[in-house]
Amino acid sequence: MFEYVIAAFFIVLIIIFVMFMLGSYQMSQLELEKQKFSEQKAEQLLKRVVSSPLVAKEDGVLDDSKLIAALGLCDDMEQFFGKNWYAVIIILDSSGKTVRCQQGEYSTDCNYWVICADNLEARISKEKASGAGEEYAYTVPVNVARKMGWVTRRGTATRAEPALIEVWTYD
Amino acid sequence: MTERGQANIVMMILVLFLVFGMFIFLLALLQKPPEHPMDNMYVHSMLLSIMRSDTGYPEENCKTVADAVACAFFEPYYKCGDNVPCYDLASSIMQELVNRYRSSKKNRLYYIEASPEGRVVSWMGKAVEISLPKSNEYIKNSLQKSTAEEKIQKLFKGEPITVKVKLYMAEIEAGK
Repeated sequence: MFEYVIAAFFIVLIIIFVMFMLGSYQMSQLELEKQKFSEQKAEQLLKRVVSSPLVAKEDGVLDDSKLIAALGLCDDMEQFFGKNWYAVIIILDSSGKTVRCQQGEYSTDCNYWVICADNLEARISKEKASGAGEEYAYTVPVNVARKMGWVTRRGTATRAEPALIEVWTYD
Repeated sequence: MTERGQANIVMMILVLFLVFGMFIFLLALLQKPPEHPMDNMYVHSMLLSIMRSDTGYPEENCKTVADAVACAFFEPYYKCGDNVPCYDLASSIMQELVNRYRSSKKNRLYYIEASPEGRVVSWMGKAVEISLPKSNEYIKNSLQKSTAEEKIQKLFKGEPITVKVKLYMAEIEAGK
């Protein structure tokens, strides 16, 4: 009789252990799926932004004047691309200096743009206050077409500069 | 069979189940997603970006890096801005641009090569090669590498010409 009691005790213990194992496995799978989904969302967003006529002249070539205009159009861009994201575009020039481009001020002296900068600032202040959640960033090389200030037979002369675009998404 | 014997058999079966379950569980935990799923997209975009970048010379033969690379093989005597041969311009500018992109992915090695396809006009006949920072064989043989290939197609004296450009990006392996 006593053997049955011990066996029953171990059976219950093992059942609890198996339930715990399956539960934690399910949790880890859910986390993985969530992470995969967020990564895919960031990747899709990046692909859509670099080919969008809102900022790009052609696929992978961003237009500097469209970028200036886009600095003040976050609400409109969120209608196209969804909420909770921001993008940083930086021209890789040989000097290594970074000068931020300002909304409404076209200049070829600046070399980096932050689209939806309000979202970035909100993230920074949230992180300082309570710690922000996870965010995903993807970076790809692109070109930024900069106006050279003179006109050719084909239109305004542009120069394609090497650049990087970094798109951040969060929940 | 005694009661003790029956209980032992039940226990053994349960322990076997438990060991099997743990094995499956640990196996499932080992299945991690690939570490650099975006490297492929990155390397393709990097090659396109390098080829599309302007060299600073306004002539048609030298305007973009792709123009300079094609010129290096098919008009090697041509000098951009009257003093820089296309081959020298193509090599130096590709090196400079790869170096600039290296700043965003420092833990990678890069190797870029360009070679003409079909009939070659060039007296040089050699490929334009850039390797950073190690030898190209090391990068080419690396297991953790992404590659991108593009073809530059142009008309040269009424005939179509093609130059194949390939970029390798390899992960720096631990301990090497």
